Amino acid sequence: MRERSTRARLGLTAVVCLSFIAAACGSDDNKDGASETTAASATSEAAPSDTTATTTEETTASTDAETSVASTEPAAATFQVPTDNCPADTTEAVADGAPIKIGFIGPQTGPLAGFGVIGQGMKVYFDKINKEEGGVDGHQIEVVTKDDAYDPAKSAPAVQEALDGDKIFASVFQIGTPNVAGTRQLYADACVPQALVGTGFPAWGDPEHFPWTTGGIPSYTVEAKVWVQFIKEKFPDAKKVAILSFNNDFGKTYKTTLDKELPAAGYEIVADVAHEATSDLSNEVTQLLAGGPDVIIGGTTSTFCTSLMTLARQGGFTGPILNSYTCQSIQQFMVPAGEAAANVFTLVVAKDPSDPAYADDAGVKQYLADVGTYGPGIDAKVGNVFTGYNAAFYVVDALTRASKMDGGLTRANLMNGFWSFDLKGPIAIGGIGHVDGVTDAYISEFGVMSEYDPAGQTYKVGEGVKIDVEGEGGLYSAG
Amino acid sequence: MRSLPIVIERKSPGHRAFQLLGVFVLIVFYLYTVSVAENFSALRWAIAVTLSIGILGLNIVTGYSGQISIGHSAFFGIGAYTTMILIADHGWPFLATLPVAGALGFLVGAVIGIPALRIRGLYLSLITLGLALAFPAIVKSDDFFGVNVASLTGGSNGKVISSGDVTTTKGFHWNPPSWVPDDWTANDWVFTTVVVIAIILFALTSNLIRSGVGRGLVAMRDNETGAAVSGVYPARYKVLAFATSAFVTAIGGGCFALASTTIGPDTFGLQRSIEFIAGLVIGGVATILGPAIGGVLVEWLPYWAFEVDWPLLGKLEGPQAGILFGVILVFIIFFMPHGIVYGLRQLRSKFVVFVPRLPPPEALSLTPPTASEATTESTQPV
Repeated sequence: MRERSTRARLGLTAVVCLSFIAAACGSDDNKDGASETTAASATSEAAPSDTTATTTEETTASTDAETSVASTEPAAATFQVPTDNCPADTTEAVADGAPIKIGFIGPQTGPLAGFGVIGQGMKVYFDKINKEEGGVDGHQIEVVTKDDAYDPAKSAPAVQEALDGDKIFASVFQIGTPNVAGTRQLYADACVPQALVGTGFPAWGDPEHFPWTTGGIPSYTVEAKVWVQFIKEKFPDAKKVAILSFNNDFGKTYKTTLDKELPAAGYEIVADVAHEATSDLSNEVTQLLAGGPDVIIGGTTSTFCTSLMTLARQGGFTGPILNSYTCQSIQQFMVPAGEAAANVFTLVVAKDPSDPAYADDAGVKQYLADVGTYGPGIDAKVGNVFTGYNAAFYVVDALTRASKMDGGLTRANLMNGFWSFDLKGPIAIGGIGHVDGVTDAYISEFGVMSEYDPAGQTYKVGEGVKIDVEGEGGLYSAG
Repeated sequence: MRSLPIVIERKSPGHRAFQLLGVFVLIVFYLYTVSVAENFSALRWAIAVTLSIGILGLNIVTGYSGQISIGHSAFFGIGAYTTMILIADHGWPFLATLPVAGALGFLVGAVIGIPALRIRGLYLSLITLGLALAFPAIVKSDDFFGVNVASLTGGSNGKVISSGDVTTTKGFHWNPPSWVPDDWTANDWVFTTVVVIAIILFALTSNLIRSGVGRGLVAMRDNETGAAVSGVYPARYKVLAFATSAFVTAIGGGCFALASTTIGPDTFGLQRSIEFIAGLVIGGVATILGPAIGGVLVEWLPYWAFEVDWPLLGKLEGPQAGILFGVILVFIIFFMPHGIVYGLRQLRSKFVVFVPRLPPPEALSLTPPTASEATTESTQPV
């Protein structure tokens, strides 16, 4: 009798020890590129891509001369956020000299704690503005970080606390599709901007229903449009396209867009196959090849990208294959495919601060210098720090313009600022991020379709095709 | 003046006064949370209460009947998803979803209880571990033996109580009814609702444990052969323990869905199960109050570790806060090895000791216990 209870207690002790390990796992040293934000947030099947594109030394990474471009006053009509049901302080300007709190709600602990450094990247840029320019319009900018451990169930209390307790002026780059979806009504009720969220789900471009929420990274809809544009430019002779898509929300986003865009651009869809998570893809690839396609598009992720490339080459297909940027990771998904990964193209949207090809890039140099000055101890090579720094650049741009609007620096004006960008952030590899909320609700619509080089195990960004579908994102509610 | 500890008979006016003191503390805490504390913290307290209910369920099977379960996150998830789906997609009123959530938990619990008939200890915990690992995968699956579960649960995009689909704007608000004070927010009302449900479940469980069934469970835990000889049928009791336990935890999950408003598959992963077990051990295994304390700690400790501006340490970054959380857990278990409830009981017994009311001495021809004899009151897990 005594012995049994001792044994049971031993078992419990073992489990408690496990919990310590779980708690300590929060110190996840996750060095991910910005692209992982999309990958991990929209679908858990999308495996993290731990490298953004690396380029060969000969290629020049960015051809745009300027580091970054701030928005000018937009000429055309932009979306004006409705304030009828808002609290009074939505349209009251911040008191002179009062600090402005910007919230960052994302995982600080748990398996995805690697996103936590985004907040540190923001702080670097804000500190620079606070010190060198005295803040925006005389207001110092602070970052308020709240942890939700990437658990959507923890997001609502975290957001409520940021809104009611810290009285944040706006929240920026919130992480996770379910986390954003579950809290956007809270922001809408409080009339606080939930701007530039860090997920690629297309629902964030919906000013009609959720005027207080905007997206901050390319949506999968935009990516699918980029592919169509790319095929047109790079392979003018191609006529027949085969589509493989993952049978979940993530894959369906690609499929729906391609089903509309490809026929509109004059292409024939010879195969449109959805695969399950349990499939080994052999049947699916056979169906794809049966139509005799000129191009295959892989609207899937993770090892399915590897299988698609391998099986298609085994089946005798030598034409181009387009991969989702969620399976951009070279070591994880490209190297295992070996030679099968030749003639494969992926969208590259952001500069990688660890890539020597960007060593002379003005934006990257400025960023590295700023981290050295304002964020000693922060590892500047981590892509997510750059992502945060870049997001802060957008925020300062929106704040600056809001402070010049009628009524001064109010939450409503700031939200209008978030709906009227015309800029190029330091992380962008090109293009102008335009958003007006009237005809275009998506800010990031530029990227370089880059060919993978199996021999050098790198993406040839410099020789890639720059695609700018700026303004074609449209509105979510318009389909 | 009498020397310490003071000996008080159970069910005497002194003992009742002591119990009323506990109730008074709870009422003060409740009123503080709904009226004084900041509005957002009521929501976090509500979530803590729902976790307490989940741990209460675990306590039935692990604390009282001695079978370790690492699968209670799944029962919690079953309850949460049932409530979420019925509200968001079918427009049910919240309270009507709880019996369904509980019943589903009961059924699945009974099925999981069957292996427990043959397997025990760490081996049983492995089976329940499988359940904890499988649950998020099933929720995300779009072809689980031909059933598209993901279309029901929202798959990896999770589910929002205000709208079944992230793309719609259909609203659900658990708004306070007209008869509560005007200054109550929706959070206060959510908190009140889950507190009332928790009180009912804690009272029911307390009664269950004191009933013949409860004594049968404890007897089976302490000596299965002896219990069987005494007329406790192990098979029935084990399955019943698992099913009842899952029932309580699933209702906790339903309340959790209401309080957290958003859930995803990994909300109910292995981490949640480990939280439950940690909460149970820290609170106090095989006690009624243990789960209540445990639920509060597993919700608030990580938060305090991250949010509080600590003396000497300052404000911590995420990973450091995770370490501090672990260190706090170690300290609690080091100083109160059997959990907080036993630790407090031990502390109290230095001052006040409760003894069972005995029949009048003349009936037994015994003298009442002296103070030194009375200190044999259990301060160890029973």
